[in-house]
Amino acid sequence: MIEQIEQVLPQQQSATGRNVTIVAGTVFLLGLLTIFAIGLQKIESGELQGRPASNFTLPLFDQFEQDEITLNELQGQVVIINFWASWCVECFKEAALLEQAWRDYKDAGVMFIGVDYLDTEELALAYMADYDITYPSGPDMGSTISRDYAITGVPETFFIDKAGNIAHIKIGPIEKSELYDLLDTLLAEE
Amino acid sequence: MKSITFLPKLILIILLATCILLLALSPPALAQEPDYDRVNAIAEQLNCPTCAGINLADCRTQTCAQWKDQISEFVTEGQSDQQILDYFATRFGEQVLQEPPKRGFTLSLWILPVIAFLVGGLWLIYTLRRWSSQQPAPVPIRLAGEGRAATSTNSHGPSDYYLEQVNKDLGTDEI
Repeated sequence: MIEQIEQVLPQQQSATGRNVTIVAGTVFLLGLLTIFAIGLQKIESGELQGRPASNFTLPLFDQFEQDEITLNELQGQVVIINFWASWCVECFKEAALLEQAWRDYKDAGVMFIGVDYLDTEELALAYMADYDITYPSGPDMGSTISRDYAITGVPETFFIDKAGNIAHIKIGPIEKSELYDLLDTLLAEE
Repeated sequence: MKSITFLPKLILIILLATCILLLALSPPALAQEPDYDRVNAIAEQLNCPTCAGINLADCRTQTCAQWKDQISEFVTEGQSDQQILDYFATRFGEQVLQEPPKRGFTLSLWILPVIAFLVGGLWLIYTLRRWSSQQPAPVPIRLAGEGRAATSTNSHGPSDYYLEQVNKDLGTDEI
């Protein structure tokens, strides 16, 4: 009988200490899980619609007269930001259309900007030559612009209104009617 | 006699001319063929930019093929591994590196596991020592009917309650 009691009592005594350990361990694990969950949270480009467009300065490829272009300096203009890459098959479908729209609307106060995403310069330049792209384009150094705009892939096109807000986001290649309608709508806004 | 002394000189001149010619021709020939083992070794240190969890060397996408071509060009140009990795980090962001750089915020990714391991080890040692030092102090237990004191553990707190309960359950609570 005494032996049985001796076996039980030490466990009771240390139960409090173990409980503290278990609670501390659980809190630690929950903390790690919380940090992990916060890390997994990712904003998507669609959520940016209606918000002010994040400013950036894009270095331009050598063929352009300007060295770089800064979004904030284009306030009052409608700005189209197109993310593209030479390896992107879907981008081919809209490349000629975007260039045509740029030529049609540049005198009406619309600026097109091409942001080259995860691309090698040689192939990017070849792509631009193939489609005769003349609107300002350049490499997204450090992929910072793509990150700020939370793009989900390429092509993706952001329509910035005259007030500098993201008015519309197009994921995937855009059709002519949609592009021209949006440009007309944004230009008509005061 | 004169021709015999002239012959070694002629051979020497031809050999020298051949060596010079080979040296002149060799660098371009070598430069055109990058060391593909080195290209692969560098590619293994980069992530595929468009797919998750695959390094550049194992990736078969068009983007990765372009990047590997770019690495080959840099290797051919004679750039060092670090210069090439730095280029990709600057051009595409540090997320393309398999190993986060040991500076700034990402330094914590290297330090935290070591700190966590050390703290965990110290905590384990402390806990084990604490548990082992909590050997039960002998306490007299008087069992009814026997009229003697026995030794057991834990003289305070809940143990007294349990002892009482045991005695009650056994019907030996009358001392």
